[in-house]
Amino acid sequence: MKPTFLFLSAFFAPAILISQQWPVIPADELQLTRAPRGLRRNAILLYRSLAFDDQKKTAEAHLRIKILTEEGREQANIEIPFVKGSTEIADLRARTVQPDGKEQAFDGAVYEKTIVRARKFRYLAKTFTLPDVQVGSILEYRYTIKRKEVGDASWHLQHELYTLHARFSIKPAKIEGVSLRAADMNVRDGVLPKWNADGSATLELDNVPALESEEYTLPERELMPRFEFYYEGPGSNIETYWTDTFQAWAEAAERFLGKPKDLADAAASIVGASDSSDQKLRKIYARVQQLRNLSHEGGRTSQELKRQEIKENKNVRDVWARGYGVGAEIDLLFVALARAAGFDASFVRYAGRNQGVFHRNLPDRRQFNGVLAAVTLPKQGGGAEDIFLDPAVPTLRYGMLDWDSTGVTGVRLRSADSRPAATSYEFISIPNRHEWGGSILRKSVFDLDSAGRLWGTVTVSFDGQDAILWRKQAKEGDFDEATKREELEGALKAWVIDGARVKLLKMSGWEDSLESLTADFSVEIPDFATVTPRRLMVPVTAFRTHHLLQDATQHANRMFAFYFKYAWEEDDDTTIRLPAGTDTEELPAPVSREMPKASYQSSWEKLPGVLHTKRRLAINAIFYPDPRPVREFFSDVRVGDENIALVHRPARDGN
Amino acid sequence: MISAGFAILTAALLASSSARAAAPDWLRALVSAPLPSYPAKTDAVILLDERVISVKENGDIKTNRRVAFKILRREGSQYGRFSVAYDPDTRLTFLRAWCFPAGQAEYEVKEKDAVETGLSRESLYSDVRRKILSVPATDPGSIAGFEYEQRNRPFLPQYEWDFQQRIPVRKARLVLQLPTGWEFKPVWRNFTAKEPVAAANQWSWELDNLPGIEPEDLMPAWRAVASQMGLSYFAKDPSVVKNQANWRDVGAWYGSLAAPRLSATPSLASITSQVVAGATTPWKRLEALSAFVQKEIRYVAIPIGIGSHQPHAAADVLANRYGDCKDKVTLLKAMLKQVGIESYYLLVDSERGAVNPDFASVLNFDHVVLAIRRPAGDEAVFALVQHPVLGDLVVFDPTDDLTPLGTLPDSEQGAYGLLVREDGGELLRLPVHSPSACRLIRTGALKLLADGSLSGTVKEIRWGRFAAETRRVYRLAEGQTQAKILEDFVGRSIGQFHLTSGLIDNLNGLEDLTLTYIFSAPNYGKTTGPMLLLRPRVLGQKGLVLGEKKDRRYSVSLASNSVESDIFDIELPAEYEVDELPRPVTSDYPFARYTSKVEMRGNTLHYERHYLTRQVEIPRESFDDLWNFQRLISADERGYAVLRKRP
Repeated sequence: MKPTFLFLSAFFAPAILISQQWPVIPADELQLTRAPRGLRRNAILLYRSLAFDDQKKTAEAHLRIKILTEEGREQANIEIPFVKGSTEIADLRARTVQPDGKEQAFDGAVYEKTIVRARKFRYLAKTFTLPDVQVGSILEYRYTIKRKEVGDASWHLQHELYTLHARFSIKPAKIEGVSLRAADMNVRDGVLPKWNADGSATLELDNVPALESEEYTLPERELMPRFEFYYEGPGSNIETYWTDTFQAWAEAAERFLGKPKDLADAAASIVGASDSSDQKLRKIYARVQQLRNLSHEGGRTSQELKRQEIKENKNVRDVWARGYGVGAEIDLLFVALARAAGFDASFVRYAGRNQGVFHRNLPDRRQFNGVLAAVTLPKQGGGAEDIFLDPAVPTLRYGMLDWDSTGVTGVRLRSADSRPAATSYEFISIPNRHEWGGSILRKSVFDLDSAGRLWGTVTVSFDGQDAILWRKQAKEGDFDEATKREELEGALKAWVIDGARVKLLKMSGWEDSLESLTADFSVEIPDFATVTPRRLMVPVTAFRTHHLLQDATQHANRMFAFYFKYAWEEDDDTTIRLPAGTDTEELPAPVSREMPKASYQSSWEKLPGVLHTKRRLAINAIFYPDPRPVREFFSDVRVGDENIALVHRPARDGN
Repeated sequence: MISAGFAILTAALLASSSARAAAPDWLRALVSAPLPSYPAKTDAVILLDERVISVKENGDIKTNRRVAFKILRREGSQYGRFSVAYDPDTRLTFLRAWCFPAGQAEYEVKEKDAVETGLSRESLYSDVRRKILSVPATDPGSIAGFEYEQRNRPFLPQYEWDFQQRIPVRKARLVLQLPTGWEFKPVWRNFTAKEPVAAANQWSWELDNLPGIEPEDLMPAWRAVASQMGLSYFAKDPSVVKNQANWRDVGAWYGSLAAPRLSATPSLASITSQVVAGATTPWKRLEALSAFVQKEIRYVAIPIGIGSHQPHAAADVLANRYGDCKDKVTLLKAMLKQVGIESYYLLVDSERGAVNPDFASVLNFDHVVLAIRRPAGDEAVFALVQHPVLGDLVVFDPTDDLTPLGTLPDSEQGAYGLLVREDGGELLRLPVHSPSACRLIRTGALKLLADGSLSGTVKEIRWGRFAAETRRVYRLAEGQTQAKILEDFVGRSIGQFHLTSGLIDNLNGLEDLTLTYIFSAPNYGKTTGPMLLLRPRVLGQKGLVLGEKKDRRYSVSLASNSVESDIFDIELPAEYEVDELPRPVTSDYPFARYTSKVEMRGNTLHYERHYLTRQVEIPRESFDDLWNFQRLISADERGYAVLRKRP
């Protein structure tokens, strides 16, 4: 339920049964056999309407579906989920219409399926299936959603089915001084609702593409065009919504933080008087990071917490004294200790990239789903700079941020003169620095035998986001040694050809955020090189682009931009000791490929008895709006990785 | 730091209001019991799995079950969650759980804390629901215990004791309590029979230290490898409980259940006539009716009560144009009867090897197909059973809409099926098709230029599984997805390519399917000094995913026998001549054969390879051979021809 300015009173309006008559289906829709534009569609929506009536507290849905293939008949199995108590499904009617116009009204059973029931919470679904559904049939059904509350209406303009015609409407509740407003989300091409004199709004669309998704792109909610509706009360608007929200957050944060002197002793126990500002901040960060983070114990029931005498923290003094807190409380404690040590520190809420981007026009405070701390430090040459820190992320190196909080919009909640009553806020852009990306360094030394078998050791060092990702997974999943081993071996196998035998020899750096996370492996690839009578054909690299990324980058008709969690680099240094008596006959030309914000170099050198390869792949951005160059770039990378060195071997009898 | 919420189900599962309470003695006794050591990757161990089946004179049964897990790794936390299925005919009269965290007092969770769900993957709606109970503190070292009691009257006086699990079992116990004069018969599978300890009207079996089943790539069906016991019990007075002593009884029971659903109505007769209109021979009539039920009757399962076994009436299935497997079979059987073709229900399982031929029970089956008396004609039929009394039976699965009449879906080949005749049932072994039923021929006419680019046309003709799998994915694909599927296939073999066109012929049919595509691949030939390297295999992989080579526990189960051929003709650039070609390969084992060769025909490089599999179950003793065979194929697929620039 999205927060709204005005919470309308809760009662059910009496259902008014609208006309039982179905609209006439045009002959061209009855006869339709193919989807527009020639693409294969198993079913399409001929018509979809969604009509909110906030006066009646209802939403009426009406769908008319054309079945175009046998697979499309699945559309006849209909499931309408609802939460018992807050919504009810009523006035359900359905029919099947054949291409010749023959109609069969649905009079079968409607089942109420329990999706989840836990104590008083009941998430159910009305389920039914339509009879006599053939290729060419039209399925039509409508129902009314009776809602206990209003104020959370939204028009999702795209459906999983291609839609010939869609109609959306909303009739606002009649409350003096209150107006209905719409926030457009990801809506393009100038599509706007038509606002009527009575405050209602309608929108009609034709030929709406089906909603689709692809790998390595923006989160799904950023791909769905929609209008979200909310009410504005007297004297309120989108700006006052955010002002009120941030003011309330700032006040709450300041109340929790208290006064700097409250933690003066605590701060003094962490930092030394002679420490530099940087040293002080690092020490506070390190100390706070040691606290028990309850947010990473999500599987705990309230009873376990009670058993462990975990109490609700009322302020940072509680957090400090008890040594535990949820993530936000740990970040707040850091702010308080930093202030106590004399820093200009504040609490920041940000709209995390894990769920999308911040939409200021949408009055939904849940967009700010992450928290961290900001400290303003004076610069040597004058002025000041902000540094962002998130000690609540386990094993996050000082100065780094988790990918989710990089390159995002945040709001910095400040206190004025440390007086809780005097608070302020400001929007900020949290940067995404190059050094906050990921890095994978692979150093390999292999032996190759005359049968083409490659074996040796590989040392992999993960840094930056790649190390954070591993450490977070291990912390949150409570990995034991066997799991860490299994996961790392799996990661290496994904980089080498199928059939490789990989064994982890040792690993380090799981806990220490200042070090790389490093793993040594023994690797054996039985048929790495191809053997011919006169040669060994040796792939110049044992490693390849991860197959998931490879799959995603090979589609010519990709629709969406490429979007990565973080920028990253891969560096390989590979030494292959050739079999005795062989020598490198020919090497491919080195490869260098550049595109804006990405580069790839691969080169090799012939040394006595040794083939030495260097490879570097750098993806320096997270967002590539045009997918075509990315496809071409990665196909060039793959071609470069698949190059072959020719190794001459002495002829043998029988060959 | 993300402050995200929980998903609904997860939240519900965690919302349990556990309390400190006295755990039962049976569980308490397990807490301090010593355990043997287990491999490092063992997630958890079942300390005790005890089931007590108490049968009353009227056939009602009471089932008491006690299960305790010791969690050894974080991954074992899932064993702190336990689900119990029930339906309107099964009363759950007791459900409770406890957890002993290491070194701490126990927690108790009650039935009211359970999360309930009626979700079913296979059915639109089912009256079977599950109560899921989760205990807190499922950390490594914790012991989670669950106990429930159910009362019901089962349709059949039989029980399956699945005592071997994925994780090791320290102790499994089954106790059977029968009224005086009743008898029982245990049937063991994958386990040496063990005599029960008998007391007054009570028999108990106790098994210790059962190993867990570690999944392997391409392993047989779970039930084919897991140790289990099938238990039948027999009433003193058979009129109270219908005994099922043998396959004949099981078949008779099913036949009596289904028979009332076969009645023909005028509408059924009329539509049957319409469907077979123009079909001039019995076989054509069979084809017409099979296609009708296969295509026009949509698969929808709504199993309620006995409806999980008993089909709906044929006339209703026809009117609704939907039904589940047994509904479709019932309708087809009724329609065939109208045209004078006799047919028989054939109960099968959707996984080959799952049926235990020694345990006569309907519990073995989860699917129904039809065995049809073969009409006169000389049509080629793979799915043929020669019955000593009924003659040739054509086995047909109308639920599988991608497998034509005359062939069987892979999972049913080589499986057991229960033939239901008027006088009872009979277990049959279904045929395994010869490789020719499942074929793929891929031919390519391609041209390589001096700059390394390769272009041309590839044509694939597919039969059997190769056609069915292609149809499945391409028919479900919409919009640009069909092109993406083809790109994914080409991209597995070629790093850089552009698809010019793709055409699928007979996508909606059932017979051979043809896929034709034109592509260009810049940089396919790899320039290395004055050499140009060309991989003649171009497209496709024949290898199996076997995982790492290690001691194999189970046989390798393949989908079906098959034969594949790749034939590519690649015109070479005039500027280059052949310096060296890959060696020909021939590898022949009892289970499969592979050959490949490359030769020059004028200025064209001709590559040809053939891959034949002829055993669907490869014994574990042959695993090393299979491994070496696959390795050889994989190496051959990476072979290059070396072209040298002409002087």
